[in-house]
Amino acid sequence: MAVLVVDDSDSIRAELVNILKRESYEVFEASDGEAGYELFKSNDKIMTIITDYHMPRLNGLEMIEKIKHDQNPTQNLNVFMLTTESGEALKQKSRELGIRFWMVKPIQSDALISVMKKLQIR
Amino acid sequence: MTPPTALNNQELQAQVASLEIQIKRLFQTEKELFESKSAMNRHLKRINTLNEFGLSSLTLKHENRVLTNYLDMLSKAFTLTVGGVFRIEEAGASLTDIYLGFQSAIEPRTAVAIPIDPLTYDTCSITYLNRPFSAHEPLAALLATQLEAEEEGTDELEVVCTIPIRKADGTLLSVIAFLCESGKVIVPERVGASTNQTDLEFVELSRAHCESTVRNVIATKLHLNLLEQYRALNENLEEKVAERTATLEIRSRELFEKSQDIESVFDHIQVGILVVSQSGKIGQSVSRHTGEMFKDLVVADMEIWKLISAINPSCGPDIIAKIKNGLENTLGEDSLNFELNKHVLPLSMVCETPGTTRYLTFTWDPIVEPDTGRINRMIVLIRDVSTEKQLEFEKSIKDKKTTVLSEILENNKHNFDSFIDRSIEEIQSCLYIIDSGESLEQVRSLISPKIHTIKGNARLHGFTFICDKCHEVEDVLLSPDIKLLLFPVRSQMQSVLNEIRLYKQIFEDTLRNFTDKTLNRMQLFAEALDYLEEVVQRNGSAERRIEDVGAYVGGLRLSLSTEKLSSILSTFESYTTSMAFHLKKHPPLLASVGLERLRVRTEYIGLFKDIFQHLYTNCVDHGLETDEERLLSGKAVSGVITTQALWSDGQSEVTIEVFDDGRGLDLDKIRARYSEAVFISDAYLNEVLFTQGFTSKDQATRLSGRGIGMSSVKAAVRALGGDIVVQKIPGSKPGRYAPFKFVLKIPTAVIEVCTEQHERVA
Repeated sequence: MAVLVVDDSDSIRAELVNILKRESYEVFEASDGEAGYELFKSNDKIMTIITDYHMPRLNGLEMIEKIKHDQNPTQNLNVFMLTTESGEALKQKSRELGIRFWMVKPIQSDALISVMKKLQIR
Repeated sequence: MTPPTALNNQELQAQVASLEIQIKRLFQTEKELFESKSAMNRHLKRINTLNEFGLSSLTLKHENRVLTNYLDMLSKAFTLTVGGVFRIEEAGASLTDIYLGFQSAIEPRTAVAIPIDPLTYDTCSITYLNRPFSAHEPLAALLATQLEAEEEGTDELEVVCTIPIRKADGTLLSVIAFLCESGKVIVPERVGASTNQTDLEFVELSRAHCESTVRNVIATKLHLNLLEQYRALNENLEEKVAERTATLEIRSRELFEKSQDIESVFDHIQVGILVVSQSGKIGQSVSRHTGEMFKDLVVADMEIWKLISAINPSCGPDIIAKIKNGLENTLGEDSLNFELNKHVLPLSMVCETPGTTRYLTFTWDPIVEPDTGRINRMIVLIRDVSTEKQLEFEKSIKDKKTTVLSEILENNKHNFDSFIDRSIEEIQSCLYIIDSGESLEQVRSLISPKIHTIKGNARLHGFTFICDKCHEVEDVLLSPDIKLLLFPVRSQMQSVLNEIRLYKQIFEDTLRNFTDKTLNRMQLFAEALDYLEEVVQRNGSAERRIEDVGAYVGGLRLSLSTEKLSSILSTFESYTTSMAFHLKKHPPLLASVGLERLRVRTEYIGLFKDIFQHLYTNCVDHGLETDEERLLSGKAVSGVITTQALWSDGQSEVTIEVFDDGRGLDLDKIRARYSEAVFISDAYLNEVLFTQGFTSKDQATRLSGRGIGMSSVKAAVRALGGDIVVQKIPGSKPGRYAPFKFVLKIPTAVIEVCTEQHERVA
């Protein structure tokens, strides 16, 4: 399964890529929303996106919005949004875009992998 | 049967009225019905044909409205179904049979109801004859005809079907006759009171009779049906109401019991139970214990992160924001979000408020709505585990003490003492190096080998805690992050020192007395044996020898019941050294004069040590100046604390003076605080110094200066039957500072002066 990791923090991205690769996921990485969007567009096997919210160029939400705009609505995409703060407005917008998973930083990698496995079974 | 209520009666009457209207209409269409006889015939033939083909049901096409309406009416009256297999339930016959009757009526025949049971006539069979039949034909003849026909196989008497009829009044027959316009219905009628069959007469039913019977049947039947329905309804209603009430009662009782259980759980459980809603707010129902735990707070309706922030002020805004964020990511969201965010929810917490420290544990339990898979609430359990923690802490201390003791016991006393003394010395020198202002590299290169040696020795002796602490120092020393070097190294060194002192302390508290005493006594015993042997072998007068033995025994007794004052005071050396170290002063020298022949009775040793600890603390802390001050005033950097005993044989008390070579009492301070007098007498000094609350220091140090010392010393000395005073040292020049000494008078019952002879033995 292919996962797209989008975060402007090199260390967080490296950590995520590391643990995902260890679990033998195919991993694509980008350091901002725009790059993430381009990567997603050119790789239709990406089924999961893990993205930060605050990022240069396009933020996480804007990137997902753009992706959802293009996306075949029948395609099932799991999005994990990394948060440092949250507000009802942000939540509402995310919900409209079908984002169902949030994670407070710092990420708990065991929990993330366990949830991803459960989603595959679902 | 009576309808249960007046209302039902009224309704019933209204129904009956409308029924009558319907019946009127019905009979208005009667003519049309009979006019459509040929259409009916076609139908009947078709039904018959279908029946012959074994089909049990057919649907009438509504070609003839009148006929179908009529059959409808009839079927309703008899609870029949049009177009199916018709059953006249009351009569126990199927309507198919009646259709056969129709058929026979169409090819004009005569239906005769012949009683099956001639005695009651309650059950008849309907028999169709192929020939006209007179109502007056006697039954015997009829029966004969029937038998004859059966024997000869003639067609004359055709038994078309047998319909059992319970009522001999021919109700059903009337119905049939009514349907069969041209057919005749002949029913048996009893003549006279006789039960003899031959007395039976057959009566042909008139058409009017048939009509009215049908009308009655329909009306009655409908009426009955309606009543039946009402009764059923009412019965059901009552039953259902009762049933429902019963279940509701059971349920409400269960609910009541349940809610009582929950309430009592909430009232008595020693756990804080909160339910957090989707907005993060705490619900109204919280366990009583919650209120007891957080007395000053109104928990209900508070956001849970605000509660945490309120009960634990050391939780900074960053931690609280994370908890809030984690809960927002979880509440109202897919249940998997709990797993992704639970790591920011606290599981335990140390809440420090002035005066109290509480250890709380938290359990977070999301409630997932089964339909949506979303978390709609969160149960939070909060437990106060302070007592358990305290016990755990005490136990760990005890465990450690036991371990340390067993480690010490693996060694002999000499090795232990020398290891401890050497290590303390080494670490103190390390600390001096750290504080010396040498370069970091220099410090590192100087102290690394020292620490390594201490670690090696500790391992050799099996002192694991010291070894571990040394290892931690080495880790810090070897850490590449040079910026962090000095501060943590100093504190790590300090903790090694504390560890070593702990070993020493445990030894002092538990083993020192024991081992010293045992060793001493063993030695005394051995010496006594030697001495006695020597006396026995010695030349000389017996008197002389007995005298010697007497003196020897006196000395021996003395050494068993007393301890040398000098050796008691010498134990303070390490104490004053470490104290000076804390105060950043050079360790002082302890000098003693004239203590040689003084011995303290063992029962007073504890009190004695307390008194001298106070006095020496006072000297090191208040008396001795800092190193710089001493050097500036031309003194040696190490201060001297002198303990001097003055006594003469035969006196009932011993005088002990304690003084240091510091600058003396700050008279200005005393003047400023207590007296404006220029000259301060000894008597006044004594009054001030031994009063509770006295301190000449502006700030209490950690070691002394809280003003509780001297008054308790005075109390302790008095408990020994002695006294203590301060005296200015005469001959010193007047000025701001007045050198002084403590003068103790101790009775010889406490401090014994032993003879030189005794001393030799002891």
